[in-house]
Amino acid sequence: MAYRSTLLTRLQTDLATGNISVSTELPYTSGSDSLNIKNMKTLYLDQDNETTTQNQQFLDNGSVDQKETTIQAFVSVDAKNPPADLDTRIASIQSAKSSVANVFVRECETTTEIESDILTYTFEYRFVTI
Amino acid sequence: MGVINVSGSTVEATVVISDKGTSYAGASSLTLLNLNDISLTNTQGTFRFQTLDSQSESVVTTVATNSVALNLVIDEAQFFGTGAGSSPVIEKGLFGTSNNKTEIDFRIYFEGTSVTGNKYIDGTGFITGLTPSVNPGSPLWVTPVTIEVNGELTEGANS
Repeated sequence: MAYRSTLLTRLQTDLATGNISVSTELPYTSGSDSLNIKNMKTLYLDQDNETTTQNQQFLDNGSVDQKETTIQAFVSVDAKNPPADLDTRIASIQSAKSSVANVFVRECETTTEIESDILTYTFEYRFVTI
Repeated sequence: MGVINVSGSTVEATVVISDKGTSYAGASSLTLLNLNDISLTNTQGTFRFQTLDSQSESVVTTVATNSVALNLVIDEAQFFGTGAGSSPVIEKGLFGTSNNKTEIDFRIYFEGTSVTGNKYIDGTGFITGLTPSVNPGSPLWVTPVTIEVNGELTEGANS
């Protein structure tokens, strides 16, 4: 199952009010700018990226595999004049990881980058299941 | 001659436990599943002594301590047993066999069970050292298993 749709559903609910909204579009680049730069204060969620590795390796050539899914999300705001509720909305975006069930690792790593006067948040959700 | 490579499909390192004295018959044996590793220990006891005519100690061997240690991911039917049948090992599983202190036969196949002439070591002993554990970061029950060997280890080959 694609976790993107689960996250999107939660984010649409949690960001229904406030200064940051969520788009159902993928974060593609339109012209020279990515969509999150073009449409600031809008969160864009990328597709699922999946990696399968061996969680347990057995002497009989068997194994138990685990699947790690990572999904990136991007939102940009005006660095000089960020929204008043920015911290609250960031926390909501991070906590959306809890909407994904039946995984044994659910994490969200947040990084920021400032370019010119644009502050971009990149969220990387990480889910691991057996 | 040569190294023993167990990565091929017919030469996998294998552990079989069996009801004592049943010659590893299929109806009374368990081939342990999901093995992570196997360690066979054959430690000779020693007695050291010093003599006035030597600058170094001498040593003689005494009785050996033999054991098998392994780690596995728990298979429910093997750990708790099937709960039915006439074979204690199969009915009770690893936990019941340990808990009831039932003596078992075991055989460690160094290069699988199917290729004629490939080596194994077998013996008799008691299952102990079960320590099932699980944690959120690795959500599979795993446990070490120790077989405390009662008596000699014996070398053999697949026929």
